[in-house]
Amino acid sequence: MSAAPLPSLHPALERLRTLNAARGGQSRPVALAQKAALEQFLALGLPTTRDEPWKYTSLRRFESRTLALPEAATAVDATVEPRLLVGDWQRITFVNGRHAPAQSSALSAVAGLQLRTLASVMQEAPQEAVALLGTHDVTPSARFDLVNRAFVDDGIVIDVSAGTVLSQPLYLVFESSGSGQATLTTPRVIVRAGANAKLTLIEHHVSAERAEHCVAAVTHLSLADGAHVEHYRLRQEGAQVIHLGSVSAEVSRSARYLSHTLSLGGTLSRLDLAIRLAGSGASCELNGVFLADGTQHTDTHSCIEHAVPQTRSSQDYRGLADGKGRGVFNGKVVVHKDAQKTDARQSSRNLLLSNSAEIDTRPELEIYADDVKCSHGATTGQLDAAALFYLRSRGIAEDEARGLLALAFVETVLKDMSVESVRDHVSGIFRRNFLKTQVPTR
Amino acid sequence: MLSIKNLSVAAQGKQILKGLNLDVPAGEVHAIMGPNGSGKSTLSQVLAGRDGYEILSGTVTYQGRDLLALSPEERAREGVFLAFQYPVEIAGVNNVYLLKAALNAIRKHRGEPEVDAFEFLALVREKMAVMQMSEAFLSRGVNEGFSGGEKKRNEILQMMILEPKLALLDETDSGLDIDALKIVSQGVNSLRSPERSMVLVTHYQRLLDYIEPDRVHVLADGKIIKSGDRNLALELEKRGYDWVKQEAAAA
Repeated sequence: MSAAPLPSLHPALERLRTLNAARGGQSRPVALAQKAALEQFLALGLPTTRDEPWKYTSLRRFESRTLALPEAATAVDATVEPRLLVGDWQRITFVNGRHAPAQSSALSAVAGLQLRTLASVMQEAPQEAVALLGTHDVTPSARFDLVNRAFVDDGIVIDVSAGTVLSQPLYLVFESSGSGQATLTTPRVIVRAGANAKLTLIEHHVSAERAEHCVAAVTHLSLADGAHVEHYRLRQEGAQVIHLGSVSAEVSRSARYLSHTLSLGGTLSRLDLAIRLAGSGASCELNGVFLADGTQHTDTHSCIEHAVPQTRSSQDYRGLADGKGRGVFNGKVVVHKDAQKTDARQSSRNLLLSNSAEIDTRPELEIYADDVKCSHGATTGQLDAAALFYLRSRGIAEDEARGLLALAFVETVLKDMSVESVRDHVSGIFRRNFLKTQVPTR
Repeated sequence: MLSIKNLSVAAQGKQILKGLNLDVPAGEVHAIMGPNGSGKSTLSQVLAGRDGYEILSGTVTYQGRDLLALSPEERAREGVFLAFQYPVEIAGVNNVYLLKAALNAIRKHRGEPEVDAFEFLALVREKMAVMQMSEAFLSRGVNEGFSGGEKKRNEILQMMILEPKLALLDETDSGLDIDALKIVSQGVNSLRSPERSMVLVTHYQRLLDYIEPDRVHVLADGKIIKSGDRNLALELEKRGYDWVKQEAAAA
């Protein structure tokens, strides 16, 4: 090790520094950028529950885990494959953070669509790679973006040219294998949709049940004028996985960004969504479902910035907590001074399925303009006793009735997912989870 | 079919039923009438198994079994059906899904195979025609966005498909206009049979113009204070409840 450790460095940070030093093979510009990102992260330190955006989420489970660098892409874990979506789509698979060509479609050029692995960009165009890692300051909420920046060695860069409409979704699979070693994986997805381009992106984070990975994933999207991106981010991971992910999107004039998130599994998970509506007529619709079971902790933080006049946002999140699970939702909406005619709606509805479960939900509005429509609503409750009795009075067993009601609570969000097979997949997960037997959709 | 002996029930520390006795033989339709707050709805809820009620004393025997020992779902599977006064809206649980799941739960309990999907749909269509319900109801959530009258019709539709042995109709006539009342009554009458008993809980005798009861009981202050035939309902309509109460007090 070249750098002398600072006396006050947290042991977890100390281990990160050691781990980062063990990497190699990067070109000089990339290595410098990554080292700078690491130093920035170390200097800022780990967020604690005294930091407002981390008030309800302790990083103890992250701090106590000793992480290794991921091994070279290994074979796909047999337990993972059945969890994947089935579709006649272009699929790009990453195993433990690295592109796995054998499990991927060829990155052949479709007219108007360019796909490059981040590894290839890092090798062939280091300066461009440095720009893709970003040099901007990260928010305290999305602090782990810096960890991704410091460690990332692969990912995907997706460029859709102006006017290109992709009829089929792009399916990105991020698998963590159950090799027994807890590794740090840092996939990065960059999407640049040209003017009036249209695409659907399915980002699926899935792991073997035994996996103990820590995933610091970053997705950044930029939508040029009139672009339309529907983004699914499905996280379906084993009980020991730690996932600290972020999604950011810059939405230009008249562009529309749709986000559907699913947070399932993992001992500790956090998702930061930062959407900036930067052009007049820009809009975003965010919805998602999270479930904290057992002793899981899952946290969704959204931040929508209405930066200019005439922009629109809506958010609809459903949270469920069972056992001793704990869910957190924090929805922040910032309306800038000149962002008149902003229309921002937010709804957070939560369901506690056990007496020891907990959900903390909090709207956060910062409004600096005066001619705006902003609404928010947050509820946390238990299953409706009257509905439960009604179902039981029709012969439905209590367990099944509870499952049906929990499912019903989720289904109202799923109907906004326009890709049918994704909707069915997610619905199927909850059906298996809440109902003992697989039941037909209707 | 149903025999209630000396039933006393409290809710939230307040005694509501006070030694109620009622016998409903197989094949008969009994009407229970009474002023507001007399315990009519409590009786139907207790019979269906709603929790939150404390049984202080008494027994309820249904087909020779202790009804109160069964869970709500077991009662339903044994053939007890409650048509709710206020049917619950359940967004996200599909109407036809519930119908099918309910029917299959009962069939499974009887050791019968699950209903064939095709036959089931034909059955539902046939009964919906009787209830004059549009097929659009099928794809909606349970009672979701239904008007009061639609909810009541949906209750009777469920009853027609589940074919209970003991049907409890809790103020099924409330909130219905005369046309809807006729449709609902038609549905109920189509189910009258020597093997099936019905208990109609109602405030008004109007319903009994369309569904003729074999017996009429007056429930006041937690017990049955007078029983008679159809004419009792007509008399109640004319004279109110006070004379029955006075008569009971004098006895």
